[in-house]
Amino acid sequence: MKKNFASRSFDAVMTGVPTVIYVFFILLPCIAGLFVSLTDFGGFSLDLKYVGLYHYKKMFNDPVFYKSVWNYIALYVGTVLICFPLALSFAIILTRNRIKERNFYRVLFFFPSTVPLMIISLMWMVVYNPNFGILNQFLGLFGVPGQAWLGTKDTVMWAIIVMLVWRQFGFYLVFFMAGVNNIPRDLYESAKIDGAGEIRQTFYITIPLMWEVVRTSLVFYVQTACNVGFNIVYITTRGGPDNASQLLSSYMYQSITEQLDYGYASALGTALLVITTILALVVLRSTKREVYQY
Amino acid sequence: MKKYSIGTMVARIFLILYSIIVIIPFAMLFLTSTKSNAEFYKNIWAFSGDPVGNTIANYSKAYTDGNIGSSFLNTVFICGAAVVLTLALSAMVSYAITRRRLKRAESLSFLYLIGLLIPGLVGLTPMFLLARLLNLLDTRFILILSYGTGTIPFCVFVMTAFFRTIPQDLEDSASIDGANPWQTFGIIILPLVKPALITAGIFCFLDYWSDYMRGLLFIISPEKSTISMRMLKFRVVSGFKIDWGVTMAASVLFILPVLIIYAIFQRQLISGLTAGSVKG
Repeated sequence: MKKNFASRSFDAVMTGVPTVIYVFFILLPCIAGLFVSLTDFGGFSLDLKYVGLYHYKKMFNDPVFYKSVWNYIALYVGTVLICFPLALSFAIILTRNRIKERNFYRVLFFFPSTVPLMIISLMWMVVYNPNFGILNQFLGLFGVPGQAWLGTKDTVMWAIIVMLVWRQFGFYLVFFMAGVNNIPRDLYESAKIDGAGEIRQTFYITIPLMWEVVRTSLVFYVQTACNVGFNIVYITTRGGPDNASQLLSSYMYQSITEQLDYGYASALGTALLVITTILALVVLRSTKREVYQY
Repeated sequence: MKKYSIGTMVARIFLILYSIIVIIPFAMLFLTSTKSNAEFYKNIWAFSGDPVGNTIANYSKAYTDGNIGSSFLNTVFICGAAVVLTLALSAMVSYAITRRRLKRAESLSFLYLIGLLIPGLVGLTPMFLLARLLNLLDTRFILILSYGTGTIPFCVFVMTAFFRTIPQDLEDSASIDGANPWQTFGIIILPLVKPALITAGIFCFLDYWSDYMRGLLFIISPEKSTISMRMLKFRVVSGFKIDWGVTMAASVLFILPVLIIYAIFQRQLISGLTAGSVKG
C-alpha cells in the first residue's frame, strides 16, 4: 500500500510526538543519571563539580549498598517463590473447577493492589505492632511469644515479603485466571478422552500453555518489586533497624531526601538499572521453555 | 464433577481463610477510625464506647490537620491533567504501532516495552536536575509532566493490546468514504477504544493519587502539595506515638475515592488489564 503525503505526515506526528517526549523524559534521564553520578550535585547549586568515579568508589566500599542489593534480590526471590505458585494454583483451581463464587474472590483479592501502598503499610503496622499487633495476638492464642516483627533484624525482611505477597497475590491471580481461561476447552476434552486425569491435565496442558504468561509476569515483577518494596520500606521501617530492611531503591531515595547527595543517589540509580537489567535477563534465560502455540 | 469435590472443598476453605486475611486489615482501618486513641490502645478489637462522637472528632481533626479539603482539588487537578497527558500520547503511538502498517512498528513497541522494565527511581535525579535547570521546581507542571510521561509505557502496553482487537475494515471503509487519517482516528477509533482509555486512565489516576515519592522531591509549597504528601506529614508530625484514630480517619478519607472508583469500575479494570496483555 502506497501512502500519500497526508498519510505519511499523520504517521510521523502520531509516532514522533509521543516518542520524542517519552525518550526525552523517561529513557534519557536513565542514561543521564550516569553523568549526574560523576558530579557533586547537591540539589540546589547548579555549579556542578566533576568528581570522577568518587561516588562509585564510595558505593563499592559501602556495606549498606551490598546489604540493600542483597535485600532487593531476596525480596524479589522470596515474594516470587511464595506468590507465584500460590496465585497460579488458585487461578487453576478457581477457573478449572468452576467455583461459582470465583468472581467474588477475584474482586476481593484484586482490591489490595489498587490501594495506595502508604495505607497498606499503615494497616500492616497495626498487624505487626509488638504491643497490640494482630499477629502477636493471634500467635498468643497458640502460646507463641510475640515479636517486634518490623523492629527485629531477623524478621523484618520476612515481614515485608508477607506484605508484598498480600498486596500482589490478587493481581497475579486475576492475571493468571485470564490466562487459564484463554486455553481452548477442546484441549482438555481430548485429554480426557485419552484418559488423562485432572492432575495430568494441569501439568501437561495448563502449566505449559500458561508458561509464557508466568514468564512475562516474572520479568515485569522485577520492576514492581523495586517500586512496591520501596514504598513499603519507606513508610514502615525507613530501611531499619540498622539497615536490615534497606532496599537499593529506598537507599537511593534516602540519599536524595536525607543526605541531599544527588550524585551518590545517581550512582545508586545506575546500579539499580544494572541490577534490574541483569535480574530480568537472568529470569528470562532461566525460565526459557518451548513455546506452545494454540 | 463429583471427583473434584474434595479438592474443591479444600480450595474453598483456603479461599475463605484468605478472604478473612484480606478483609481484617481493612476492617481494622475503618474500626480504628471510629475510636479514640485510648480506646485503641486498650483493645484494638473492641467497638468504641462513643462511636459517633469519636468518629466526628477523628474525621474532623483528620480533615483539618491533613488540609484535605484544600489539597483535594489540587490533587484532582494534577492527577487529572497527568491522566489526559498520558492517555493522549499513549493513544497516538499505540494507534500508530498497531494500525498504520509501519515498517518499524516492532522496534517501536519494543522501545516502549523497555520503559515498563525500568524502575521509575532510576531517572529521578536527572529529572530533578532538569527541573532545576528549567526553573520548574515547585510547579504543578513538572509534577504533571513527571507523572504523565512515567505511565506511558504501561498505557501503551494496555492500549496496543486493545487496538489490535478492532477490525481493520472499519478504517478501510472510512478511508474509502474519504475520511483522512485524522478523522478516522478521532471520530471512529477513539470512541471505540473508550474502554481501554478508561482502564488505563483509572490505573494511572490511582498511581498518581498514591504517589509521594515525586511529590516530595518536586513540590515545596504546602498549597501545591498533594493529599498523599499531606498524609505523610501526618505520620511524621504525630511522631513516635501515632494518634491511630485520627491517622486511620485520614487514611479512610484518602482511600475513599479509590474505593468508590474500584466499586464502580472493578469489572472494567480487571478485564481491561487482562484482555490483551495475557496473550502476546
